[in-house]
Amino acid sequence: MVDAVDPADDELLAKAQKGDAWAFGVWLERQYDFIYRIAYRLMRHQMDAEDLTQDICIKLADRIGSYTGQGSSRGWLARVVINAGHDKLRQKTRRKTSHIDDVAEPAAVEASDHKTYLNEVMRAMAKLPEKSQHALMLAAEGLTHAEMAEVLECTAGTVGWRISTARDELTQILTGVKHVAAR
Amino acid sequence: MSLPDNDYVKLLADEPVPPPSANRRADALLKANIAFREKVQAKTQQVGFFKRLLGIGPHTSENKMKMRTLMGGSALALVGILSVSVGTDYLRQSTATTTGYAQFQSLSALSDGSASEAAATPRSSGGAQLSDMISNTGSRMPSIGESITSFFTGDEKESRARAEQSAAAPTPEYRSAVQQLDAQRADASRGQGASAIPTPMQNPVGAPQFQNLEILSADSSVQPRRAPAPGVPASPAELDYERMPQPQGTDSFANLPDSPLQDVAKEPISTFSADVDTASYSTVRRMLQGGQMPPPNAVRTEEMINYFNYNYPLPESRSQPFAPTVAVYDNPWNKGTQLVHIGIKAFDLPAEARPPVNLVLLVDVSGSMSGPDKLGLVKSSFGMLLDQLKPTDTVAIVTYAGNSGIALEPTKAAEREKIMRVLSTLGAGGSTGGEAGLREAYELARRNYNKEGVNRILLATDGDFNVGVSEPGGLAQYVASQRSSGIFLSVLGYGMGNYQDSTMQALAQNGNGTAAYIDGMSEARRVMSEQVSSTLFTVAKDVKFQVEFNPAQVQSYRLLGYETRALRTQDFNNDKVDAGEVGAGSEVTAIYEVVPAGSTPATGSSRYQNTEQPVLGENRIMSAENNEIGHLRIRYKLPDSDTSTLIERPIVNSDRTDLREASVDVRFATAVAGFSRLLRNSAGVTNFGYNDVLALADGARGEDRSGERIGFIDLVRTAQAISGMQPLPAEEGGVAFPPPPR
Repeated sequence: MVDAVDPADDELLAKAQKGDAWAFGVWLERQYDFIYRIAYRLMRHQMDAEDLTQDICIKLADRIGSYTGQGSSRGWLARVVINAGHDKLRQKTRRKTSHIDDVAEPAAVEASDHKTYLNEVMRAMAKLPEKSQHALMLAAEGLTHAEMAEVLECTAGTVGWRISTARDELTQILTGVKHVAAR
Repeated sequence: MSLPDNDYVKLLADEPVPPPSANRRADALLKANIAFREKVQAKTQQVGFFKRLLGIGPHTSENKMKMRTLMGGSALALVGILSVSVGTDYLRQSTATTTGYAQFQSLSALSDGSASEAAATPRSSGGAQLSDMISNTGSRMPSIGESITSFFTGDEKESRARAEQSAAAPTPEYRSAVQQLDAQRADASRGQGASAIPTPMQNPVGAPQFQNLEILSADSSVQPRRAPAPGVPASPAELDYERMPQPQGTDSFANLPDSPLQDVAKEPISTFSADVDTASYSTVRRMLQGGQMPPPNAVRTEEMINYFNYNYPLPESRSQPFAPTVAVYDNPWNKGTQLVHIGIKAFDLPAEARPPVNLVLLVDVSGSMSGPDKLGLVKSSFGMLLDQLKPTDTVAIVTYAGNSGIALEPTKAAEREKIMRVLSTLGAGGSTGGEAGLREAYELARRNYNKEGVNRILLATDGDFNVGVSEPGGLAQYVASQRSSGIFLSVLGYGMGNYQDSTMQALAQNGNGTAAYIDGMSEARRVMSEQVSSTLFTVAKDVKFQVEFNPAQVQSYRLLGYETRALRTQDFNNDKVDAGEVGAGSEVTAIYEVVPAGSTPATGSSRYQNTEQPVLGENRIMSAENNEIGHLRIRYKLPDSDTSTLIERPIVNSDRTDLREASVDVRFATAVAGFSRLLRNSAGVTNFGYNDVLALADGARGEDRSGERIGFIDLVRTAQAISGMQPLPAEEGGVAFPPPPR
């Protein structure tokens, strides 16, 4: 789980947008782990996630102004990460080394039941629509509905529906049974 | 397979994410910070360029009106002209011709000053109100924040939309909204700004507030911080201290009240040690940016002035490390008195001429150092320093907290990876045992001593020594005793909250080193990268200044700053007495306030007022002796020498100049001195306010490659906003100081 929102973060961000290099440095350092964790969930590989995080950090130096101050800044940041991650994954897929393959291959390794199940879920997740994938991932990262709304480009009210839909879709893929959610 | 629990969210959340490697993390942050800094620098320079192009002078009310008129009537036409006239030399560098438009945007944003900055970036508290207020006024002005934003995003459409918005002239409602915003901003920053770095002392109960802010801004003609009653002792700084907002946390600052006016008849000679420290400026900047007025004792005038780069002429021969530059001109903040400006610039060492370096980094890893602004910043700043070293230079790392220890034996800088790895593993925890750490560091430096080179300990700490000999005096004594070993000590201060300025000062002054305060990545870059030669390489040590004033010309004088650096007259020629070091490429500036002979005798604060310029009688001007205002002597030792060399130069009438015609460096240093006077609530400052500092500084930006001068201007505006004393930049705002010719 990520740390609770620190009210000073937005302040730092605002200062950074005005060109305060110190504020930018502190803000970015605080966001690094958040960026990295989402990056890892996207890339499913530590080094890839580190590469992506570095790209995003540098990109943020240039594009920090793209946050308009409306909506949650963490949501905005999560979207930046997801967009950048998708660009990167697209490049990777072209080279046919998608993260799904990485997940699908650990048969050689002695895997616990839990891990097998997790891999199964991961593979199933990859078949979901993008937005459903993101909804599950961000909920796992502990984003609030308001923050997720920013990423999923919907209202906070719709977020809950998205998550439950994603759950149902996933269950359906895993069990082959159409499951009606009874949350 | 068991039936899946469909709580996938929990399943995913529990999935272990391998932690990122510390190296990659440090690397990414460093790269991003450098990229950001470059972006901002490019931005600053471009704004400056456009301002100059349009001949926009200082931030006078006339100029603001001029800008508003321009924006109101002919923004589009102007852009057209700009694209044509600028096109050839500027836009060639741009990727698209429309960038000119965005730049014009930033320019227009500059004209509405700091007031609306708050509007564009609502703070977490009161942010909603702020934006409401702005939207209610109907005509929204773009702010610096926004234009930088649009610069960062490069969103052309956005910029265009903003330009159209800005074309609407500000309404009275707008202005009054801005006025409220200013007050709210001060309010907000009082509660929020200073806590940008959460420290355990966040918003302490006892932190005094800006209680009379409302009153002050309601009646701007009242200037309550000045106007000392006649007969007030010459230490107003101390008296006013209690009325000032106090810094949060437990920072402690070492400084003395202003030097008193010295009567030339009794005390014709002034002697002091050079000081190239810059810590005070960074500290003051950080406080102001956090929304607090610094306590007067945090403002060391000489460090404020010496923070900036000045292009004083270099000596013709390398046998002499520097040559003095002198100017005498009317004092802008005290009519009837004059300023004597003395500056020296030391030659710089080209990279290939630098001696080998034996560096020991002594890092405070006590619990108080945790946080991105402390240990995090230490790591990135040493990373920058490493890039500046030659592969054969050596670096060792010693840490201290509860236990001190060698984290890295002397290692060639070529093994960057190894050094970075050790740095990145340093974590904060434990109490501070400063003394043991210092001993360990000296021991290591001695073992690896390089006779031909520079042997230096760089101490990175917040100065909170709480184990061992923790009295500054005791530590300072120890450091002083090590000086003769040829190992110098410089102190890099980090963090705010329990930053112990007095300890830092004492250590650096006794260790033949400098003290710098690193408040962020840009300052780290400045100290560790851009000015690394002055940080590491001393070109002259024990540099002392002495000025003897001629009673026929000068009735009394006061040295601005250097209060903690005063020496006795006899110390000047005594080579055993320690004094300040001057690093390669650095500058030292000292400014005296002098009351010319023939002025009204001193009685209280009125002594400065209504005094006529002294008219030199025929009998005086005939005498060669009377052509001299004073006599300047500088003593220094070469780094490896124990005997001093003397440079001397008379200060004569031909050094007199009109401030408006003085060099940009003289004018800028004067602006910084004036700003320090205001922040210190110094006696004898009349008809001089932040607007005058702004006018003076804005006209003296010079080349400003590093952007530090424009940063100063921004800081003065911040101080102005916080002090809440100044009327809004509107038509009625008076400007006391005429803008210098350009």
